[in-house]
Amino acid sequence: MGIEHHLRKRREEISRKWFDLLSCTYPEETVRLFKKESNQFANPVGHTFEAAIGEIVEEFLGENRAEALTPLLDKVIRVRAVQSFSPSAALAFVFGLKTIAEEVLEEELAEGEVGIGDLREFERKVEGLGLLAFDVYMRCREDLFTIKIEEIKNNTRRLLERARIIVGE
Amino acid sequence: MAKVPKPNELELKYEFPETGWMDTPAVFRPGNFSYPGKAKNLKVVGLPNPREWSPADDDWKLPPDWKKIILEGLRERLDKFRTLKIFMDICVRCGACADKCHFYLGSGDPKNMPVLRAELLRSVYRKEFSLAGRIMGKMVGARDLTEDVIKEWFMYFFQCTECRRCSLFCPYGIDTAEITIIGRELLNLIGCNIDWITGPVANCYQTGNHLGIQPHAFKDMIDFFVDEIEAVNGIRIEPSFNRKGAEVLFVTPSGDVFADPGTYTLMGYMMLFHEIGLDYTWSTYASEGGNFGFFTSHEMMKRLNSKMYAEAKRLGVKYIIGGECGHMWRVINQYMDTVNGPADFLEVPVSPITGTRFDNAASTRMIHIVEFTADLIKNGKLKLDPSRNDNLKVTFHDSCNTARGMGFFDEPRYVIQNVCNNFYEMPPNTIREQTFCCGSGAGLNNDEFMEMRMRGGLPRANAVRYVHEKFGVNTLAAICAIDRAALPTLMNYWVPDVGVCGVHELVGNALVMEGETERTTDLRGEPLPGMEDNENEDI
Repeated sequence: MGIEHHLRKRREEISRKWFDLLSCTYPEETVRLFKKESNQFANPVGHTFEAAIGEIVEEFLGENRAEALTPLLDKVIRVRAVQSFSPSAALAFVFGLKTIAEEVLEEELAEGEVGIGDLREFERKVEGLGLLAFDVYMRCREDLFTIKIEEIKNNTRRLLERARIIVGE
Repeated sequence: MAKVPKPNELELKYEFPETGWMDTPAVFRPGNFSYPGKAKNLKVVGLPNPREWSPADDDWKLPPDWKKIILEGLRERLDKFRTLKIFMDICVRCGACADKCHFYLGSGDPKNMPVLRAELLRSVYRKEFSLAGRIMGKMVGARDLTEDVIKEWFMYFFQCTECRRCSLFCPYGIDTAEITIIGRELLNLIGCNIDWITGPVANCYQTGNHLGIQPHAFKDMIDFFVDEIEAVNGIRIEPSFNRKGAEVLFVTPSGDVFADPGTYTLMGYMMLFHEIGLDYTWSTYASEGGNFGFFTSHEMMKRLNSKMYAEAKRLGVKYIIGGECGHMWRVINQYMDTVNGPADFLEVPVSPITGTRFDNAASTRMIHIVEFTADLIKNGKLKLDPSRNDNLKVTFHDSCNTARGMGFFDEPRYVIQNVCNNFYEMPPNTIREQTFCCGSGAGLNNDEFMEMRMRGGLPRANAVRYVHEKFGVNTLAAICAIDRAALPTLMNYWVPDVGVCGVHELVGNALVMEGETERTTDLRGEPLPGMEDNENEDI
């Protein structure tokens, strides 16, 4: 039986730990809000993160399809891409999944039910998820630059249109 | 550019930041601050300490006696504004406001909690103006005024859009927006301001509008829309400019004249006025409804507001109708009567079409176009075909200033529901008085501040995404020019399938005009529902 089988049984615990780890990149007061406020509109970031983390874990430990993971990662990364994080800090949470897997499988590893080789294999998959996250992050930042340019263009579009008409006549 | 992290910085830490808020200085980096006010713009309106500087520099080139200026400025304002004195004294730091700010929700930065934003100023107040603070210092939340404090004020008072959502939840009624207003006023005393505010202020003071458009160019743009409307429905509108003796002076934000999608809203106003035969004039001098003076100081707000009334007096109109604008209305509704009123040379507005007397404007003598239009619809004076908007599934964003600044909730909804068949509300804790700000108001709608704007607008976008996914909403209507400029960008980042429009764009689409040719397109030149096949012929 593969390591995913064991991890799937613990997916709620994994999601919780991963959400905690992601939350820890925010100040204490903010984490309190993330965790206590259940209304999704009063706690948009906490709610988005919690829901998306669960979905990512489900897909990652299941079929692990890039096309399914991309929009799920986008939900989390689109937020972090505009917050005060360096690119590396914005994405570091992805790699935390390695540590979490090792933590939750402590017993299985000790008893030899899961081998170190399996764990290494899983870690390579997490690295793949990290690369995918990098693509998503870059797309978010590119979106940001694109909308900035579009906004500037739109501010002057009417004037230029008018000027061209004047020149044309 | 971000610095290259060291390997140990890539490790995930399970601890929270170690320093308290007072000991965590503001760090300026590209993307988290707005560019500073240019010296030439400060000079135009006589603002102090004009110079070239950047918030990212260590030396902000403050005047040598900056500390004295700030403290005297604060003392003067504590005497002048009873509210400020009360707001400084009565906060019990209960935290009811803490998680209500859109910037806090989007950024997670505790200094964006309204209580802490106010504490930035309050801590200095305690130190300098209270005995306990002078003696016990930090123990009672007091601290010295230093250059780092000024930098922190600049960072966070220009990270607040003065939307007042927090004030709604304060059990004591503390209005944190007023604290930001005073904070900015104090910063202006030593020349710390942003160019996206000082530029428009200087332009408005010199030419009458934020964009600095001169009278001939203003007229030229309105004429351009005359052609555009004629291309849509064959009706040739004949607007008048600076016409003495007109019944009504119409003033709208200049953004409606120059930036899409506000331009379509402007076409809607023109079509409506033409259809009902309103005797109105544009002014090429009072060519701006918005008031960026409001984001600078009370005096500057008064100065810029006065031009509309001076122009109304010069032209001899009976009253003023104002377009779909945000802070223009907050200034009119909350401040105008005190600073420049009463406008007793004008008359209490009476609709010439329905005879309705707008007693709510008995003192300011200025009414909102949406209440004017709602009254026309209510009295059956407009022929409307809402099916022309059937391709749109509309939701309404309550603009902070019209919502919390003047309690204007139902009129826009009434108009929208009469010109559209598909209207869906966003969740209750994100609309009406609890509306979330666009994240770009109060002078922060500049492109260098894009990251912050996307954070600030996150809670609003989150609610839009909800109705987009649940009901298929594809259009976000708003009655504010800043919203019409800011929300398309916000939507492009967070909910790309949702477009933005003004309410009078929807009116312009639905309005059946006397003598019009067959309508095949909306005001944007897009085919009307059912007319998709005619698209090529139209071109």
